[in-house]
Amino acid sequence: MSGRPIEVEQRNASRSADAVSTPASAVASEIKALVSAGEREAARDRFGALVTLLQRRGVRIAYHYLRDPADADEAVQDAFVKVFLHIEQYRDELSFDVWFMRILVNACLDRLKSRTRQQRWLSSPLDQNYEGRPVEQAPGAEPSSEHKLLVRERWSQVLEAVAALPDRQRLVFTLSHLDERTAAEISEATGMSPATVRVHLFRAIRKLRAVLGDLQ
Amino acid sequence: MSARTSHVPIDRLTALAFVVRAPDADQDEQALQHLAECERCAAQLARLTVDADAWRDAAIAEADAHFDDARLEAQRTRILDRLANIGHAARVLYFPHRTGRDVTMPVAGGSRRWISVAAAAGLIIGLVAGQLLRFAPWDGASRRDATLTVQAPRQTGIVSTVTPASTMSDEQFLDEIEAALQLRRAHSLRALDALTPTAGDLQDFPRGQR
Repeated sequence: MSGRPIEVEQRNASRSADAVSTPASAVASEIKALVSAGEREAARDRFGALVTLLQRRGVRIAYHYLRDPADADEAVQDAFVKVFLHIEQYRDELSFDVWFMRILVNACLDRLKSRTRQQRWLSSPLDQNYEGRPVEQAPGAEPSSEHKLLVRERWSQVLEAVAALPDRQRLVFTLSHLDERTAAEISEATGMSPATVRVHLFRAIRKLRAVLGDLQ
Repeated sequence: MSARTSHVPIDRLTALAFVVRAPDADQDEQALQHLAECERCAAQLARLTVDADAWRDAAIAEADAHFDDARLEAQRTRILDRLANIGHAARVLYFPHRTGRDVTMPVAGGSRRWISVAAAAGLIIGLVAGQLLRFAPWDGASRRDATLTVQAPRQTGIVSTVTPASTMSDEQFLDEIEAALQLRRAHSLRALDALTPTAGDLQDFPRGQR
């Protein structure tokens, strides 16, 4: 059997221990102290390090939520600018990563709303543009080429199914699976209750299972 | 679900494959226990896990393909530029190009606040002044001026009130004239009256000498 359950336990254990003391939290605390001391220039210089730490994760989440690279780029920029402007409101005892995620999700929501307003008369880009095109990357170990093809076909279908999920289900699923967040963290980041998060996850997974069931 | 008898439902297996769950949930504990003993469920989970991992790797790779290192660096630069420009004045660019220096918009903050305070103060002063004009004592006098009161000489004891022409009717106006003409003994007119010949005096003269 796969070692997945053990991995799940280990991942959760390590996450709960590092919830607050992530590298990003440490840098954020430094920046907050600098801003509080009135040293905005120094805080801004230090902020570059924080951007480097969180940027890649941020664009991954934003991209899979918004399904548009330009929008994702803008949303991540907006989120970082908001983080800097409101850094004094960050409480050191909380996980900075979750706080950042919350700001990023709100920035994505703003983008989504403005896009909906602007393109109300257009059909959804999800319906027409998204191809679920794989990027050349082999998953995990070194299986046979036949197995690779099979897996590629499968995840391509799953990718399309995820992209077709409703916004909130896609967000919850992306945060859970892609960013490996627990339901409690997703609840904190999105403002949904933990029960709502679980419902969205359940629905998303059921749809994905249906796709996977068809493939099997 | 018991660890030995019932298999883990497919929804639960999918959740275990795709979603990171808190390990302290009873259901997860039971499922994990069952999976350790049941080959069938373990194999199903393994298949789902391959899909989940494949999706995850593909999703990450897809996002990373759009955001390579160069683009991330450009994004980082733009973020820092935006932070550096917060609070700075916006430049007005002329089109078509005009020689000379660019004009900058007034910086938000202090000056704008000063302007709004001045505007509010002006409004308040205007309102107060308006109220003062309405209730001040000299206002009563000015309003009385609107109705001209002509007091006849004390000897006559007749008081004539002349209202502005716009508000006075023709009838009233003629009455006033008539009353004024009857004031033959008005003190100020007495000398003039003495010099002026009356109709009776004129009748005494022959027609040619008039």
